[in-house]
Amino acid sequence: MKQYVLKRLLNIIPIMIVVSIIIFMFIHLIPGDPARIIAGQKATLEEIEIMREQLGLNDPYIVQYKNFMLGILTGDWGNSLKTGLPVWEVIIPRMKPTLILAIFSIVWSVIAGISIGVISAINRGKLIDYIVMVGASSGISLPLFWLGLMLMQIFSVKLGWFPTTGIDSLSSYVLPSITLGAGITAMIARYTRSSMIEILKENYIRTSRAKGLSEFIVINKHALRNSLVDVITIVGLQFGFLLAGSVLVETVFAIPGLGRLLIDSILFRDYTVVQTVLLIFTFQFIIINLIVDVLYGVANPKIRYQ
Amino acid sequence: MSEKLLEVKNLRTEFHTDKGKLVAVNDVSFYVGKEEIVGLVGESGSGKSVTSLSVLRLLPEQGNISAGEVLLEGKDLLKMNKKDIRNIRGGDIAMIFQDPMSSLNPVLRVGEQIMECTKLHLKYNNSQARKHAIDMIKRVGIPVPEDVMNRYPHQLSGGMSQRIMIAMAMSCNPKVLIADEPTTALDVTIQAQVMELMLELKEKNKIGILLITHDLGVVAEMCNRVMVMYCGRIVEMADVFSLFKNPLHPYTKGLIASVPKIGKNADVLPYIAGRVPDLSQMPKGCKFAPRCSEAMEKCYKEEPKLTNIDGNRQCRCHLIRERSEINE
Repeated sequence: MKQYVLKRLLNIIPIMIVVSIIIFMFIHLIPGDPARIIAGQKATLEEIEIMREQLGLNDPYIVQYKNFMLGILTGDWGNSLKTGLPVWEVIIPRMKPTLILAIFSIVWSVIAGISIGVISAINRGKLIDYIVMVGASSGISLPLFWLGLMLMQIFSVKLGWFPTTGIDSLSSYVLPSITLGAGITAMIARYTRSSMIEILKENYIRTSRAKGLSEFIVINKHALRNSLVDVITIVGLQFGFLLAGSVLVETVFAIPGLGRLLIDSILFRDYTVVQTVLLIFTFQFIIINLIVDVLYGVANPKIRYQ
Repeated sequence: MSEKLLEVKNLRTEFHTDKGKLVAVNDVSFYVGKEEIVGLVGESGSGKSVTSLSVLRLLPEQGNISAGEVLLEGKDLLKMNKKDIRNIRGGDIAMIFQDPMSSLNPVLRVGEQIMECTKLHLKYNNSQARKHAIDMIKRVGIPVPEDVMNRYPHQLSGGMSQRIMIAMAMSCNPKVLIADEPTTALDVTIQAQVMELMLELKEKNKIGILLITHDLGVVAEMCNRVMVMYCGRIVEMADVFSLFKNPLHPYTKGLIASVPKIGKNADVLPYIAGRVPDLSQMPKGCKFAPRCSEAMEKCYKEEPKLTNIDGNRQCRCHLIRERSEINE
């Protein structure tokens, strides 16, 4: 198990290198000249040229990439082009709301998704199964921003249960988390359902019934434990969706998180901030997948004992 | 004759499918006595497994027992509520299955899976259950039981898995063991070991065993009495010696003839022509008539009844009836 985790950790290094190259290239490929933006609109061509030289934009790409990586490794991530502050000072206060939003969303969607999937599987073909699965399909296909606006309209504006926007208290996170988690819940529910239906046909389920175990234990101990092996994989993949969704949800609910920061920085061509946020997102995704891999090993003894 | 532990009377099991209602088990009656191994033989699709699953009401969703009684020491299992039948399952009647590797839960430790039974039925606490499980593993002939307790099923061989299944089944001292093709998926040498173990358990624990198999070698080795099933019906029932010495039903004759014998230098191994008819397309008269070499006109029109012969044999064949009538 230790070896397995260590191997996974070492895997992060090549992935991060490739990602850093992609982000670096992306920054240089999108239109717009950072030097021109920093120098300001009234700058002369000469001033811009000086700025380019200062920023190292005239160096060959290889040298630029080397400097970029050296900066990251030594902790010098550059200053925000917009505010002039070090990027970390811009980013750190933005991390907390996004983190809370992500944790709330994933926790409720895992609990709700698995429960709905199991209920649906054991009632297969009955009315409740159809209702739940239609709901799940809608959950997957509803556009996030539309769902967010609808929830806001009903629960904030009409009923006044939750604040419409901002992050004044934890209750501000309820509607955004529901919005962000809806699609993931639906995905997990569908996946759990089909996995449970297959597993309930397995021979060892028949064995557990032949032992005289109650249906509750057969399902929640014998079947669900096996189903989790499959479901964990999907949860990990959904995290990518969660990160992308957070950008939208933060915009709809005016939450000052990383997603909003990313959008604002792209609009302003604040490259240093953009690349740092992108690196953070990637790193997050990789770490989550690592955790998923480890959990996968915990759930599946065949992996653990390789 | 020993007392009847488990008795099945006029069992009829149906399946609801797209093709309509199919009768998988039709009017099957038999019993299993104390310290007795009763064999249930037939080709794939003859209804042997469905019969065994019907006893504990473990049929898949589409299956339904529409008539009959399953009596365990006189109590009808088919009339019990869900809770009572669960107490019987794994308690008084235990079951082992054909494919031991897939019959154990892959994500739970072997020990846990055995302990579950005694905790449930004998109300053992953790340490009692653990001690008992180790003891059971030892009794089925696995060395280092403490080590095996902590293993997962994928770390066991097929033979070991079936031993574990047997240990699990025997852990609550059942009165009846239903073994559904327990040796089919195993190597021949392992088969012999598992059969030996079952015989031993029968002697020691004085249990009755219903042994479902398609292997006549296993039947000859282990059983006291044998039932031959075809298309969901019992076609012949006899004690094991009479059956092999003097099979009455043409199907039984065919089955016995198609076992390869060393020494007999036959160029072609005899076999029963044709195959088991689909349940949705049953012939009208005797279900075996289309494959039977001795079929008469009557066989295609009228289904023969199961007839008693010599008091303790039964056969379902028009030929038998005519013969016995002549004898009278």
